[in-house]
Amino acid sequence: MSGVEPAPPLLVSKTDVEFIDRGKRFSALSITLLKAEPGKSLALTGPSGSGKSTLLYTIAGLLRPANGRVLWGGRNILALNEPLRDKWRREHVGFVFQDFELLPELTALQNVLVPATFARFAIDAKTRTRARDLLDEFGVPARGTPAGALSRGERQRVALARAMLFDPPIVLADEPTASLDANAGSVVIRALTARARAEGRTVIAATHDPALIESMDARVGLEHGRLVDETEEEET
Amino acid sequence: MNPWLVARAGMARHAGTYAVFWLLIVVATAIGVAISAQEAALRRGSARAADRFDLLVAAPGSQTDATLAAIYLRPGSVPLMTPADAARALAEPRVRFAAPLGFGDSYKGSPVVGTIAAFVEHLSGGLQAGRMFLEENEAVAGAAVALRIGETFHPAHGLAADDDDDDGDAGQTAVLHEHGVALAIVGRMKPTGTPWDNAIVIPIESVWRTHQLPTGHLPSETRLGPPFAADKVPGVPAVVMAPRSVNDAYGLRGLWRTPTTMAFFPAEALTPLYAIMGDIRDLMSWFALATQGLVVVAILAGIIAILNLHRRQFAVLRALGAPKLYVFACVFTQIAVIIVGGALAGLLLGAGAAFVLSKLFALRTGIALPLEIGAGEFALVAGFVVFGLLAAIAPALMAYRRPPIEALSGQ
Repeated sequence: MSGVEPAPPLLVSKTDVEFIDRGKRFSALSITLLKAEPGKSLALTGPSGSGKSTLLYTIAGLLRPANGRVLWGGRNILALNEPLRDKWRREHVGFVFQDFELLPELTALQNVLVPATFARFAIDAKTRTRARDLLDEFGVPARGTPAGALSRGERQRVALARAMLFDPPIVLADEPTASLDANAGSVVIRALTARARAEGRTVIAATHDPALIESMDARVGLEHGRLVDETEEEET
Repeated sequence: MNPWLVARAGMARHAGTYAVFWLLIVVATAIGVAISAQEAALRRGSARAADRFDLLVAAPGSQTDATLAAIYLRPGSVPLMTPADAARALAEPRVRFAAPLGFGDSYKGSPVVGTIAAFVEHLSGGLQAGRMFLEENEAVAGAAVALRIGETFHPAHGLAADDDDDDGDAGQTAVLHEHGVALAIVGRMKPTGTPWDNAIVIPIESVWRTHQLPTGHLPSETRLGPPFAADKVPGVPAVVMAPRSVNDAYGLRGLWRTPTTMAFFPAEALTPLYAIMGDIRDLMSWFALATQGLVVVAILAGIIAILNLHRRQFAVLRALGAPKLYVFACVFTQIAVIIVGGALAGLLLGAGAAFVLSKLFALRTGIALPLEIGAGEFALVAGFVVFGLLAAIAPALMAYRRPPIEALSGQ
């Protein structure tokens, strides 16, 4: 299932996220404009607590900021109600986490198929074939092995396969190589960046990894929730 | 949506803990089922034991004591009817038969009871082996008595449970002394499901003669059974009458309620006992329900603690696109599996336990307890399941409402 339709750019516009901690309100994110081009990979860099993960969750529609917009194909994701945001995320976003976040009791194949259980009762044969193909592509042939028994590199590749199950046009990755050694990390980097270019996906990765940053098409710095290299372009 | 894959993974991760939860539910349910089934079986069994005793006539006193003595062979202090009343009762013309009952002797734990052949035939519905007694030194054994046809035994005066000691030791239980009379088993009754299965039945004349009383007949007569000579009948604890019709039964009951006799249907004595049993059953059922409720609450508290460990997992599922309802369903499914599975297993265990208890009770008392797992028990289990599933909504709702961003952010 390689090759997706040309995706629209992803825009984050005038978005402010505030959290309340011990009765005090503080700003976690304040983005004037961020644009991610389709087919390009974008690295979010910055120190811990700079708002990288918060930005990813905002883009995914997991939290609703005080104001702002996340535009995808002219549609403001943040204006959708929660069920519709869940649906949009399920169909358009693949998520990769730092610690893989697999279910260790399930096999590699079962872990990849978990998203297929969110909306349908039965998993169809086409989806199963897709899951097997992804595991083969990412070099995890031991599909029947419990995920807890796999190596860290294999687990992250299983997580990648899970993220790609429904061929999402957007891939969000939160420190995807932080738990991996250099070799395993390079496999993940290649998988992410190659897919961006070859398949026209929008890949955004929050990362400290210099090798990953180096391999991405663009990079944006975050500090105290604000873009360091904030674009001055007007949204169109 | 289908949360089973994720729910199963969660249960596998804490398999030991969930197994303990499941076992708690199994035991709590089994206790409730066993109590309910056993009480009902006890009522049915005791009522069936009284089936063949249409009308009891005895000296004035406790109907309960007379019932326990006559039907369940648990003689206490039952006064004797006067000889005159006994003679009149045994000569009652408006019945199919009037059978005297004479207690007081035993052999190795089996009560030796004197009566007439017609009552043995009536009680047992015929014999399964051998023949009816024709002589005073002959006896018919109950279906569960260890004596074989042709064996002789020496009844002893008094009653002692499981007295296997033949050395005449008058120690632990009742005072036993042999009468020095040898009786031969000539027949065996069919199983009746009553304590009479453990009894040895002999001619009433044998009981009277052994206790140096008139035998009911002239000295020259050797026959057994009615008609009895009116001036030769001693007092008896009870007479069982078999009226010819229901109307006759009520008429006879009224007729034999006199200053010197009481007459009653066994149900009249059993009903108050059943009321007490019912009250006790209700109390124990409430205790069982309370236990089940506490078990559910304790399990839910444990599951909530476990689910707190899985907050991030549920948040990740939301990040992957799972709707809130999916998370609710994952949690609810895990709890439902334990509750429904535990309740069903508890139903089976309770039924099994009740079955074993019934068998043990029958061995000990001779009263067969017809066990049924019916509407009452199913309602008990269903009620528990409904309560458990309703209670399961709480932790499922907690997981449903929790914003994923908290766990994803490490809060």
